[in-house]
Amino acid sequence: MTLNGLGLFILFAFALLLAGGMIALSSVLGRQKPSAGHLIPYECGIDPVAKPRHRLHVKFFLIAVIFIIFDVEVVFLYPWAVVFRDFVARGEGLFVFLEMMIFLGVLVIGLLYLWGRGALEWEE
Amino acid sequence: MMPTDWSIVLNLSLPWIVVFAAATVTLLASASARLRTSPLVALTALAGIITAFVLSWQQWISGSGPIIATLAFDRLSSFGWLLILGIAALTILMSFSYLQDRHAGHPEYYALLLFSAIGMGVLISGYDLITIFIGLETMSVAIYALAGFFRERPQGNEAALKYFLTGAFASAFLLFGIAFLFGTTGTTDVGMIAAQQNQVLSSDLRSSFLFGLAMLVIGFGFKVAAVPFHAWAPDVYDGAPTPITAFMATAVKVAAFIAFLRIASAVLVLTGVLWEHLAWGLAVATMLVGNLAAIAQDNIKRMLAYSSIAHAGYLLVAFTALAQDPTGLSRGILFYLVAYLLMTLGAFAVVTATQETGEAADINLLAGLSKRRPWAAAMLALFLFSLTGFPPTIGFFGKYYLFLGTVKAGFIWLVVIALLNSAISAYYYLRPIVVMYFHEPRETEEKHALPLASPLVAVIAITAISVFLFGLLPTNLLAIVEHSVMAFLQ
Amino acid sequence: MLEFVYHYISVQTLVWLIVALPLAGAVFNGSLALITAHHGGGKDHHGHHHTPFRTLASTVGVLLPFAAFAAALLCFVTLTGFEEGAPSLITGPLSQWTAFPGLTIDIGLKVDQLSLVMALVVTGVGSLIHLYSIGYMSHDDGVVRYFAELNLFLFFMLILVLADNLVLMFVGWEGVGLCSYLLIGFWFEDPAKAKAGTKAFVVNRIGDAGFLLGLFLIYGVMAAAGADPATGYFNFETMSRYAPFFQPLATVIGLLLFVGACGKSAQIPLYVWLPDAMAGPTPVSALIHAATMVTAGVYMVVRLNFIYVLSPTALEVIAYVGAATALFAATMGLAATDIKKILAYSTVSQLGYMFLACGLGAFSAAIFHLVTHAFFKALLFMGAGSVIHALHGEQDIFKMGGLKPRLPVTCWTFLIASLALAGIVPTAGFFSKDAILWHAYSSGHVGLWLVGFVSAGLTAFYIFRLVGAVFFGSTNLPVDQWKRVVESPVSMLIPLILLGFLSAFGGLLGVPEILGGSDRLGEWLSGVVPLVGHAGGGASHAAEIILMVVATIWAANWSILGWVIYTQRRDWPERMAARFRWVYRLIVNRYFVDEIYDRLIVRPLIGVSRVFFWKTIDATAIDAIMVHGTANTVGVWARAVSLAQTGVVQQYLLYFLLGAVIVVVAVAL
Repeated sequence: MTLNGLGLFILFAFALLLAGGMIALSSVLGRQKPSAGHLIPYECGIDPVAKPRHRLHVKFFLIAVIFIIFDVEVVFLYPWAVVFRDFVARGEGLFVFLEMMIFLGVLVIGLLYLWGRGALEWEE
Repeated sequence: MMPTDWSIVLNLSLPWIVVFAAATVTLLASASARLRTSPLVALTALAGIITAFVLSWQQWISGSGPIIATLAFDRLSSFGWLLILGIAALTILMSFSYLQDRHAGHPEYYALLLFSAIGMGVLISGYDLITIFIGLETMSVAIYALAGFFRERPQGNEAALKYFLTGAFASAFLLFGIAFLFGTTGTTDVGMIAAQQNQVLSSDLRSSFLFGLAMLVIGFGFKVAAVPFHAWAPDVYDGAPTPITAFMATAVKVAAFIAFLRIASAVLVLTGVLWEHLAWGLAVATMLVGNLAAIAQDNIKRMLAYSSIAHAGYLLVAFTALAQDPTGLSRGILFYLVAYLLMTLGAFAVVTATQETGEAADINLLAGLSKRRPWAAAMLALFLFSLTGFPPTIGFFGKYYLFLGTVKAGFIWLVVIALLNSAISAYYYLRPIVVMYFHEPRETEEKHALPLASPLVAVIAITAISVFLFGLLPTNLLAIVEHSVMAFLQ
Repeated sequence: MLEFVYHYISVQTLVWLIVALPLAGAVFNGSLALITAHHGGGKDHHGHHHTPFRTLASTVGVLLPFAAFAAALLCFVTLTGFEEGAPSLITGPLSQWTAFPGLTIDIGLKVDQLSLVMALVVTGVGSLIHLYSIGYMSHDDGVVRYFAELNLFLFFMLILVLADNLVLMFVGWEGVGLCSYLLIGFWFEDPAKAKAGTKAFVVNRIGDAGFLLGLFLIYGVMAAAGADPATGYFNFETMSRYAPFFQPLATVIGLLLFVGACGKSAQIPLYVWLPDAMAGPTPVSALIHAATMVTAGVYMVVRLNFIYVLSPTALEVIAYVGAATALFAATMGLAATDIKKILAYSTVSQLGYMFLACGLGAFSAAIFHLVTHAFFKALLFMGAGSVIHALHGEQDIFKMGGLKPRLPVTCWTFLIASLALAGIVPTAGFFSKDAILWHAYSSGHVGLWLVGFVSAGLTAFYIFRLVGAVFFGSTNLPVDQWKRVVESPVSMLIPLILLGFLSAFGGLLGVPEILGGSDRLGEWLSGVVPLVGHAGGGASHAAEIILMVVATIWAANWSILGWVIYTQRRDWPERMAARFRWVYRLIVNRYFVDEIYDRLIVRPLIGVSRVFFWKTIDATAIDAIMVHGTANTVGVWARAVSLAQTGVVQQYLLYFLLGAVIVVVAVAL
């Protein structure tokens, strides 16, 4: 076992210690006086008015997933736009531009599919 | 990074583009209410696959291409891609009647199949760890969805969820490993990692580098269902629709093994004894658990799942000795992959046929199949004999070339263990044959079954003929495999 | 016309076609048979036999062999046109069968003088017999299957003769054995016939074991000689180039291979299957058990002559076995009453002659007799088939008689063939048999010559006994039935007539020099087999002529005797039999050979097998202890391992993690 192996081991040990330690410490240090009031979910100090395990319509998830796809798209577009000018200067503008267009095209196909399947329509 | 000649890249990636176009068309067609039920969708997918097959065959003929950016366009890639496309085509044929019989003709099924095939293509050709990872994920995500494609079946949902959870877990390991390799070598290019390897191994980054490699092995071990990363396989294979199980058991394995072969022969073998010990252990564990657990199964799909684990073990046997004789063993591994995919696809096709319109796969339901469907029974027997490794089937030559190379490399005990495992495997492979031919069917079942759908018959016929023909005349296939191997090792 | 053909088809392709065409027929008819097997033949409501595709199957099944014959003829014409005297063509490896380090076996065909002769005979006689089969099998439901199997036989037989290496030849060898088995038991509903097929198969296995051992030894010799494995150890060319290396083992190899030949060509002691093989349809007997397959052993010995000439011992053994078989089988032919059995013994006897020739080193004479025998024996069988066909299955010659006016064509062609078999001038059989006897005499083997000479007399007697009893004299059939006997259809008569010509004039292939002819076949084969060198001038031309005349008179004498006795004095044989009762009983019971084999080999073997191999080794040691013992042990482990598969995904991930820790510890630390 080399010194490096030890380093790796220390890394893991530290990660384990930190995660485990936090849970352990909080259970040891925290004062535990369970009462009815303590066990109520905390909602800004007001008594909860509804069950937290509320069933949401599946469309919310769908919209959320679609949002994430296009969110990632935008996230990807920003750094591209920032360096695009440099590529143009080097004469590789067309290539980089087309690459991004292909990427967008793929997403557009996805959008078209969602559209066609009616995923964007809230009302049935 | 920009390639100098566009036309070359376009030309080389044409098969992928064709498959991608077919997948896109299929996907968009499924958005149209009118086209959703049309059989044209499956035909489009099939046409795309076949076109790509022809194109890649031409690429294979014309020899090895260059490594461009992060993709290797060598003969190994073309060969692997041919295998994937072949499997995909057969799976589509198999699925066609399967979906029709169950009145479940969703075209997304075919689109997902094609997308996963593209992922496999990238995985096979990938010459950069990030590219390989992307290929792997593209493949996997599509397969997760396909495993649970019939949402009304609880077993399917269970399969998809289990596969997804464990798969995500494994992907994390893989990515973790890639990060460590990048951290220690400063690159994710397989060739450059290999070039720096000796230097890194002798530096104080040794442990971190080895740790990265171990993570990589674990990630691939999951995909090929090597013990102890195999536990998902039986449940997932059992719950997924049978054609998808066939696709998973063959295409995923072929793609993962070829990518693994590329990495192993470039990087892993350089660690010498370390790799040999690790692969030795993995191989023995995988063979033993796969074969032993298969015996206890009463469900033929689960049995075949364990069987596929066991076959991964046989392949790992050859990986163990890879450093001693890269050409010979790579050849053996590729040949075995072809043998394995042919007989496994065939077996699953017959299972699909025997399931009629249901999903039951109990081995005892095969009773009397020799009278009900004499041809299907005979073919299943052929595939099972081949899986056991009886001559003159392709399974025999697969094992022969695989183990011959390993013995020559000096791993005699490992091969002895492998052969003992083969002997064990006869126990469970022959059981369905006994049931088919010697057990009386239950009274309730009909004596005469309806004729099988012709696409399914085609799949069984193609695989059966190949299993038999390559078993009689293995040299032609061996020559193709040899040419495929030569290029990537140079 | 030829130009046109050559423009499109190369000679190599032609050679390939010879083999491929019958295979195509087999595949086609085989598929048809499989399809029709489901729907079943059976009878329609008028009681007529109704077999779908009968015409289609017969047409394809007959045309393709004829096409193969045409291809063989074209090959012949082409190759002789190219080069005077030595036509030879090797297609080279058409495909590689297996390639292991140290052993390469190619699939390649070799056309030389010898294999071309064989191919011509096989396809020529074969297609005539196919044609004949249409009429003969016209009342049978299994006609599609019949043609599939017959075509398949032709394919394997052609592989056997055209193979360019010994292993591929062995493939053909086993293939014809399989087809023989299938066709002997063609009417497998009858247990006796199915059993006859099995007997043929089992007896041949004994021979094949010898053949295989010979193959292994050849491998050993070639490997030890340092031959290049890539050229194929079993390739005839390579083998003959390395012939000197065979010297030390030539006797062993030669005799082992001869054991194989004994099985296939029905020589003592493995001849017992051939008389039983007559259970198959008569055209099958004509093709497989007279003209072609049974001569495979002779062909093999001739093909490997370069090994046999190295071992005088092996040759001596072959000669004596051949001569003994010739005599022994001829005596059995004297007492048999079944028309096909007589011909079967005759075949065994004639094959003995061929081996006698081989053993004397007169390989070309063996091939000569093989060819003429193919002509006249096929004709005899087909004539017998025609009689059987006309009499609706009657096979006892003493229930026939006086059939000449009813079956004129059959009778006359049969007579020609009988003359040829008896060896009467100037039929084909005379020249070929004479060549063998002359070689025996002139090489100083007077004893062998005497055996052959006596056998020739017996042959003449039993065949004319048959002719007299069947075609001449008064009939033993009821008169009204005799009147209803009609000649066979034209499709059956054409082959009879054509083979009649060949039996009559086929001898022109090898007329001895002293009669102003020349041994054309011998010259033709001289490139492949060594010319026989006679032992000094012990025999003169005068001797040759004298012997020839004596042999002819001898044969004619016995022929007339047989004919007269069985035409006009039918009570004589019974009186003779009564006088020499024990001899007669011995012969009628075929020397009790089957019974001796049964008591000496089969029963002890079964006894030992039952007590020792079955009860002790199999049931106790293997089944109870080894098989069930291991199975149970493995089963326990299997259940233990599958217990881990709980279905809980968290546990799976735990295994995963534990595995990962082990891997990391093993590798990184």
